[in-house]
Amino acid sequence: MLRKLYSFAAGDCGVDNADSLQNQEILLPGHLLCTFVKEKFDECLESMRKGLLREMRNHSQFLNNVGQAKWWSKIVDRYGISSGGIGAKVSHFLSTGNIISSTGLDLMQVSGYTIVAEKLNFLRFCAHFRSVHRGQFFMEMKTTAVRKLLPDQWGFLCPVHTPDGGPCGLLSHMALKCQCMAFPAQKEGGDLEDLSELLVGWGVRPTGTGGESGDGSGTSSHTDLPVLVDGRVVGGASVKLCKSIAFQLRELKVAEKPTVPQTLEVAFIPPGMKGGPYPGLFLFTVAARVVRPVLQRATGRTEYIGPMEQPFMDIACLPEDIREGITTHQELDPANMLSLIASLTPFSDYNQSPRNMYQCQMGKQTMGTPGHSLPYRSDNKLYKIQTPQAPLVQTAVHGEYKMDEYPNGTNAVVAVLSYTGFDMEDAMILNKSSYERGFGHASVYKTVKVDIAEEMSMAVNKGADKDKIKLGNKTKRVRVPPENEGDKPTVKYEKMYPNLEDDGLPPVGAWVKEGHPLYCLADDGPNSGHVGKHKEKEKACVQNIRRLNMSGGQAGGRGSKDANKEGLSVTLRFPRNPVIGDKFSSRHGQKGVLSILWPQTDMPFSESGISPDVIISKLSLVALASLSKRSMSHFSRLFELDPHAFPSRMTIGMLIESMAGKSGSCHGMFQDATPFTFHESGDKIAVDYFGEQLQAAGYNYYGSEPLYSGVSGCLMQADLYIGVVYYQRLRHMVSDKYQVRATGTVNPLTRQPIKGRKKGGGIRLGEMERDSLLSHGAAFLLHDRLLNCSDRHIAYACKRCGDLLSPTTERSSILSAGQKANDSRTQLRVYCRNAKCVNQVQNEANDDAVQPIILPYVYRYLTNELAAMNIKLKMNIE
Amino acid sequence: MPQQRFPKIEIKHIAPHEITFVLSETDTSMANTLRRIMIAEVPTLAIDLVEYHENSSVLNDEYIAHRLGLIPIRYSPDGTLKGGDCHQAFVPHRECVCYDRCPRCSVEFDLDVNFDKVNMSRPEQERDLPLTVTSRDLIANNVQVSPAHFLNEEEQDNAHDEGISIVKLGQGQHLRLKAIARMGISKEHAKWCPVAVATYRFWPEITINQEACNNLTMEQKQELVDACPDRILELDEITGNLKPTEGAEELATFTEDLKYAQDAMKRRPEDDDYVQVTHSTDRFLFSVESSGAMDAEDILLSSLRVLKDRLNYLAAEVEKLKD
Repeated sequence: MLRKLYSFAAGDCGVDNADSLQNQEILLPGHLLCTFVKEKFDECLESMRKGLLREMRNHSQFLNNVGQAKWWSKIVDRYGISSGGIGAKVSHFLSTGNIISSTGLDLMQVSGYTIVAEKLNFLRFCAHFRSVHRGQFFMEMKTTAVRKLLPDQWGFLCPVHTPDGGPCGLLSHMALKCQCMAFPAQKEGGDLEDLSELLVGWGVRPTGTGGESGDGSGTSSHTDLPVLVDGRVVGGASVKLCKSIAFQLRELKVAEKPTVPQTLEVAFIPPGMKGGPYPGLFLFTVAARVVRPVLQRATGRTEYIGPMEQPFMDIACLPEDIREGITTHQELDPANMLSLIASLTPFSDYNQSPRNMYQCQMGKQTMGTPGHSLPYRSDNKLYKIQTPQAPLVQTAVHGEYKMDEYPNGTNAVVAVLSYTGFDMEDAMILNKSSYERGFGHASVYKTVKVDIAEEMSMAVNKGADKDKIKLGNKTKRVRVPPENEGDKPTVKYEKMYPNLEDDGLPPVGAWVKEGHPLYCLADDGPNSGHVGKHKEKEKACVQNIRRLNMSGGQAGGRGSKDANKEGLSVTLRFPRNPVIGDKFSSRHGQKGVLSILWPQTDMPFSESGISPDVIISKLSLVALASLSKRSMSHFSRLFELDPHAFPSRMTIGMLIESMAGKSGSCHGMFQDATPFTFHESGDKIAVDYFGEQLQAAGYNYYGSEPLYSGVSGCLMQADLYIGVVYYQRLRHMVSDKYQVRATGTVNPLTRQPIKGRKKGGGIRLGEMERDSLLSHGAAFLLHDRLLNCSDRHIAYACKRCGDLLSPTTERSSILSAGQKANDSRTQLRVYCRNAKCVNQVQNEANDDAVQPIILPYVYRYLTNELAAMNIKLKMNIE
Repeated sequence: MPQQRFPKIEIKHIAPHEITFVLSETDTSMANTLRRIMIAEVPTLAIDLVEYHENSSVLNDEYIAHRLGLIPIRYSPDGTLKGGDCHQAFVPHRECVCYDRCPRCSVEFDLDVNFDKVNMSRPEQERDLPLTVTSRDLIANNVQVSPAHFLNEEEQDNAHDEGISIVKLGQGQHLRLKAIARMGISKEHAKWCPVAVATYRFWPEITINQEACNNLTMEQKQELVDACPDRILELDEITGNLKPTEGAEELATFTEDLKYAQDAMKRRPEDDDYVQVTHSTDRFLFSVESSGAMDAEDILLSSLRVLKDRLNYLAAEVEKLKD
């Protein structure tokens, strides 16, 4: 350490970068829980020790009791597991993510350790288990240095799969083949030799604290490089020796019967880099490291490498990158640098990189197949599409990870053209017939959980019979009018809540609308029972009802009042077929909203009679800037674009997917879209490969076709791009978001409309909106929004003194007894209380200076508030 | 009537499920009208209302109802498998005089499949495997109406097809429902659409400028042949001249590839084209493929009837205006 400091002071080595993955390890949930439980154990034992000491001091019976098991269990209950014990603390930690610790456990944050593993779709579920967060502390940091994508994380953390916005670069995801060591490598088993012994045997001069091998003596030469195992200095060795040790260790790592851990990290940092990292041989076997497999060229075996050694190794990405004599390793697959979700994007190497990031984001928001155990699940919210398909164009990872079991979208025939104008600005037109045949049909499953015990006590408070109340329906007497005149009316008994059955619950498969009862607690009394209502505006179908015993897992439930705590879980299904405004996206970060359902007869059609399912505008797609000259000429011709244009999206991957999907559906095969399989400089470029397939199927080389207008039947004078693209439906739906208000609840203090969709509030017309209306001169609209639809108020103000607060009304004193309705004299008179005004009018007459004026109520409120501070607001009224 | 024309139909190919014909001596608007009527306005039967008695299958009610709706329902008046026009046999249910439904405006289907019952009578090797409920389990109350399985007897004999699957049942599951089919048009919902494909295209006129072609080398001619993805050109083996292939008119797709290829060969851009493929303005090649609800031939006839009815209606209304 001291040598490193001197070296740094001399400028020989640089500062270690704390943001580099080289110097980081991962805090694993198991390790965190382990230390947490350990600390709680310590605390528990400590409190028991204190308790025992107290017992010893205070009770003379102590010696008699010590031998009794019963007494000990009492002691443990009283001191050891008071307030729920370790279990309650762990469950509190897991349910809130907040760590309550006496030592702090060397952690940088106290909250946010748990997230709910949402099963929105399978991708999201997977991503939760591969995510790595840099820590809450860095979220607030102003500098962006920590978020930077460093080359050190190549192959370990995915460069694409990180959200944009707040957690960008802090929340990353592990690459596909990256693994995290949960145990120290020594524990892997097998005949492992002791590393320090091995090193000393190879000629490392043991030094100082050389651990088991060193005896505390020994010298170290300043020409030697330090050799460290897990951060502990074993000794020193010459540069040449270090290099050969590193080489030998690598051979041992991949040997048939490894004598050193397979995941041993052998970071040999050679000297001679001025301002570079501190040289030495650093070996790591500990847990919480990340490792990834690469191919060792000399032996042809797979070697696991770590982030510390990676920058000092020569790893070729592709076979053509190999430099003989220098390259020692090769990537197993260039796509291994991507995470699972990023590697599901077809042709992602053709897209502009932010688009791939968007797709990683949107893939996780897709309504797909969350799982196959739907009847047994009671998640708060689940989204499921009814007509999923396997994508025609898929990557190798898609098959490898059996993503077909969890499909997320539909193959749609997509035409790229501007038709009717409903497809401009990222909107898309959907074929009405496709919609009717099931495109994008989906449902949302919501589970309502009810605590019956709590509801019961509420019912009892309202006066229900405590002993007889249970889930059940009420009956009501209905008088049936007699059939023949003169007969006595008969009486029959009916269910009070006809949509509930006798057990007080709706039948499975029944539909409930807003305000319908979901369950009913009833007793024998003549009341109307205690009902829980369906609160959502949408109608829902009762999918499943479970009665639960909620006392089960609770600690301290032994014989306590919670033993019979009953619960109810009702799963409701909301049908959510696409409506205008719902969000869809392709797998290339191209999202759009459904703008209209267009009749099939009016859709354009091709020569073979195919009409597209989806129409998107070409302007939302295209891009040329990053293309090679060759592709540029291909696609610019297709889109009749000026090759100098500089569009922004650049999702060429989508164009290629469209071609590939089209040829795949013609030839009846799935297409491989693994990134980096096609290469611009290679002998086969993607456009040519699929172009030839299309041509073989009788289509145009680039997938364009002449289309006929469905309305006029005439040929449209352009070759239009039409193909098959996999479309996802995103979970953002209009029915969750629409906000409507004419009149409604107001804030009682200001009388202005409240905000919030749930409460029927309005949307704020803010300062900027106001400014834009002002600059348009739209005074009437502005007046309407800010006054009439907000807190319009009629107030009496005194013209004479300009006061808003003094005018008041007074009941006529003469007529206060025995008033007549048709009395012509005013019964209420309006006058101003101000000392100057009060005498200006004759008694019993209205003050003509007091007039009603229209003003925003907040103005009145402000006047009041200011008056409380002895500030008077005076108005000049003309 | 000025310029009255008498459109002709020349049938190229006819089968129960598809028909291709040439419509000539009329214009684009007429061709498009015919196409639009075939897609959207030919009345057929489709399941429109489903009453569930029991559904313990894995699919929910509306999902099964949607699947039932999309099953093509066939009306065969003469007891054969032929799918005929149903417009005379049924009344649109909104126009029917009955209160709810009657045999004149609807057909009822019963479906009752109980896994446990069926399982007993299944062969040993199939027992306990998931049971597929298909359109064949739908029993109609009208002998002339049935879900479409096969287009003709021959196909029915040859196929091992079990009908259109609706849902799979497992142990203890039971599906019992009553499905009511009504007559409607696809303008309202795609399930009433009788066609899978109904399209036309302009008849191509392929002219080969032999004079200009004489300036081309054989390689260049071959290049032109290869340039067409629709393979409309070939080289005459004897004379070495370019000629359209047999049936080229039915293959031509008017791709721009040919144009690009010959533009590249021209010495000057203003030179004559070697091969020209132009659209005929009064000849249309139609291709209609049935969804199974009706025979292709009947779809065409029905669409013509709909068109005629519409025009008669229009004429009558115009007459009324005159008065």
